[in-house]
Amino acid sequence: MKNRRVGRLYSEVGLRVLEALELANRRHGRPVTVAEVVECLDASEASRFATQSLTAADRAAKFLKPMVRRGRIYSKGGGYRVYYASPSVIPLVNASLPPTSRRSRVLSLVKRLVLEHGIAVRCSDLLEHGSPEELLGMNLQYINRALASLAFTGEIKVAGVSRGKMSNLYVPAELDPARYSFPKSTAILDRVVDAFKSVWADRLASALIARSLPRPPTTRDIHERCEQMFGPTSSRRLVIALGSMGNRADSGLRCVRRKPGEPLLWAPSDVMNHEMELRGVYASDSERVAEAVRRAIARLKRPVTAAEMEQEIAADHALRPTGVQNLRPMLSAVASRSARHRSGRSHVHRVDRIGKVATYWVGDREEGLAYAMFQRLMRDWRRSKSHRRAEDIDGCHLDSVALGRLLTMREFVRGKRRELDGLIAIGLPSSGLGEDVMTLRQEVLAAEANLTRRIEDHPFVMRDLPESVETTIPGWSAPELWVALAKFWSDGRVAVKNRSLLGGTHIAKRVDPVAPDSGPHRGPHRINFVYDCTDALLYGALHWGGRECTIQASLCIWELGRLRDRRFVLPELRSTDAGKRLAAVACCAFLQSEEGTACLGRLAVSDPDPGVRRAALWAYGFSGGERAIELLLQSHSSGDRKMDRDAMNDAIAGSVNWCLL
Amino acid sequence: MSVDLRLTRTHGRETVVMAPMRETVLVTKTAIPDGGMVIWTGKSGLGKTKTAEWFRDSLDQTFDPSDPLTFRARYLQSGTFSRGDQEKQAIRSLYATVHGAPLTHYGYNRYGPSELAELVVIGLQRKGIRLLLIDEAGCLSLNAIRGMVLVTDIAKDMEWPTSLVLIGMDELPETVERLPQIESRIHAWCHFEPYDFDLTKQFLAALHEHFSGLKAGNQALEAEARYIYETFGGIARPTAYFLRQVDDRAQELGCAIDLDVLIAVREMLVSGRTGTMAEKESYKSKPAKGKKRA
Repeated sequence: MKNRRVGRLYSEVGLRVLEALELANRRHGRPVTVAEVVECLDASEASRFATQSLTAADRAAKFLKPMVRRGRIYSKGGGYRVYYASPSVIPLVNASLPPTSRRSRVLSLVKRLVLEHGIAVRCSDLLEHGSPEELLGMNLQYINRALASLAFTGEIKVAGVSRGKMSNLYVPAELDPARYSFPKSTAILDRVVDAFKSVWADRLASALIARSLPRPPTTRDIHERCEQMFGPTSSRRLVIALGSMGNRADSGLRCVRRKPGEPLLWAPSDVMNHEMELRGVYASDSERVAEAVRRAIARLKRPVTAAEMEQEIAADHALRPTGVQNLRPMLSAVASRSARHRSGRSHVHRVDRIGKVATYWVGDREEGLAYAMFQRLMRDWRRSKSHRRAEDIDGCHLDSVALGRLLTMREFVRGKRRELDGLIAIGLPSSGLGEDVMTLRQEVLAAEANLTRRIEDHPFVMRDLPESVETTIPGWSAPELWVALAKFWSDGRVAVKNRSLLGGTHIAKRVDPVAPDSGPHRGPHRINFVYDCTDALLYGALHWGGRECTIQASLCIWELGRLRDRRFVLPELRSTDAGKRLAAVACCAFLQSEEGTACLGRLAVSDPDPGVRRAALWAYGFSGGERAIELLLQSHSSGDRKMDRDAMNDAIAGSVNWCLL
Repeated sequence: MSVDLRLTRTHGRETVVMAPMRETVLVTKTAIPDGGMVIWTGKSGLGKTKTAEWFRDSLDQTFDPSDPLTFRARYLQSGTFSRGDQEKQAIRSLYATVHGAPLTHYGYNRYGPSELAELVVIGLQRKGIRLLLIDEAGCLSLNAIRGMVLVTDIAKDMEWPTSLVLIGMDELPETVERLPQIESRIHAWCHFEPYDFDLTKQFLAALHEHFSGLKAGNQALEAEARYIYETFGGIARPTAYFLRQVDDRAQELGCAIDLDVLIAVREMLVSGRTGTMAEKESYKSKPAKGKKRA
């Protein structure tokens, strides 16, 4: 029962295989392999045909071989390549097998291509023009190996050598090599010329329709057309070919020379420049971006940002980049490229940075820098309005400090005037900014005259006050700054986040919120700025200091402003008004001078007002007075200053952190 | 005709110390050792501000840093605070008054109300201040008054009792009564009233030398004083202002001051204000915006 069922199944499957074989024989017109038989099975049938252990081809072979033994079909060939055919489709006498070996297939391919094209062929030509059947299971190396074998046995001949790897030119042995060899050097040149002619014809047609002059194609246009016409073409080879043809008088092609740094255009040698439209021709996205920046500069008369450049691109679609890169990275890349290469008139330069926004300039870099300098000057002048507002000094209790602040303001204004004069000296007024420069200069001069008048009218004139203010601010380097700020923390940890107070002419405006040992790439050691000592101490006092420290810092900020010259503060320590002495004490504490510390020490002992004595004692300790702890213990014992238990223990131990009091 | 626009005096804030002022100061002084609050109320022009300024100046003059029994006072003209933490803003204004410099924005945000109050008390101790005179306290919100009272509470804790004098007009008692915990801290109420005729005569005699003969029983001067008293009802500020007007006009005309001059100047002032008063009346009669007249 079982054997009978199996026999019926075999016969059904055998019929399917036989049908597929006959179909394959008809399709190929020759005896076929098992794989080709399987290809003629239906997809669903083939999948059902395969078992878990046998592929469809193996199982089909198991049916074909008994059929051959029974004489229903016949086979030819042997070994691994056996061909089967049904005699009802292909009689045995007409059966011809396909070329089986790679070698023979390569030989027939060489013969066919040489006869078809009339030129000797290279290894790559076979790969390019061979049919899939001819190239079955072959790659460039197999072909090259077969060609070498054929040449060795004399079945083909070497007709010549072209440039590059695997570049021998072959013809069949029965043909004359001299007749089928071709001039090797003109191949790429002919392609380039054909591509250029095609592009130029299109440009002429477009110009005729638009009733305008033709626009010369760029190298990129020619390369694209060449690839369209002849397939993949090396851009490097094409550029070399274009360059060599542009230098030859008989090539019919010439280069349209433009400004330095701009990409080349190409035109027929008999067409002059005035017969072509050269305006609005942008050979690359870099050129479009540069043009957009140039237009924005012409509109705004200053270095422009990427956003302002984008406005120009939005206004003119001809400037819209053709690439996929975003505009801002592209602008940044163009500027970086300009910085690396030589300076040119059409180069984009990054000249300034406003916060995190960079500004760009096209053309002469020095001129752009002068513009940027003026912009920075204008910006600083506007921002410094609060620093140079003389009315703020009216709230200052200390007359000599008020005078010093006025002098500081005047020095600041004078510095700005000198910078403006420097800009005028290099000829900036002759450019588009001339009116703005002169307006700002008038404003600066008026502010200077106003301050001078206020200084001369100041009622407080003391003989021991200096006539000019010291504007050189003592500064700390970054490591010194961290050491100083670490005093405000009991564990020595510092985290500066607010940058507003650490700003000014001589101060770095940025302090990274990291500890010094956080790594060389982020730590403050990398920043070579100098920090204003007084600003840093005030910052620490306000953010982390104790109550006494906060009070003194608030008073110091109110009184001192931007003044950093202790010579204007010290006379106020001798004032008869206790309130003024208190304010002067606060200022001396944060100015940190030896002379001031000595005065504070004397005041802490001998001032008639106990409140001033207490403040002076703290200021003496804060500014590093040697006898501060001793004086603190004395004042505690005399009831002048009461301390809590912790402060008392610290004082007895000899380590009082004055910042935290 | 040219007008001489120069001032006849550089400032018109002569201080005439009257008996009620002394009495008020004495009542206030007794509250200081306990750190109690004193409320000064009364209508406008009765001399509350003048009394506060005189009190402050007197204390400053007598202050001796080495004498713990002397002390200073600070006078603060308060106003309404903007939106936000009224309690902290009130303490911040006290901080600026006491220390003479405003607290920085970061310091304000860094500390809570009680810590800010501690900073104020440190300033009070340092400058020997034990009395804070807060004028126009009727404009303060309840939270702002709470903040100021918090300063006095902290001062007591820090063994530096400090008194708070809230000066305001008639709405101040109503405001304070809405805070029972503050009302219990009030040590004394001082209500300022207009002068009677005798006090008005003393006031005039101290204010202008023309009236110095009042003490000798000059009848003409008595009549002039009576006229002034009946005209201004014993209120100090308009009385002093009227006398200044009379003095200026008499100097301008080159005549001596008498009852006719007083009447003429008064009528001139009234007639000069007629138009303004008429406008005021018409304005008052208009219905408020968005409301219909009943």
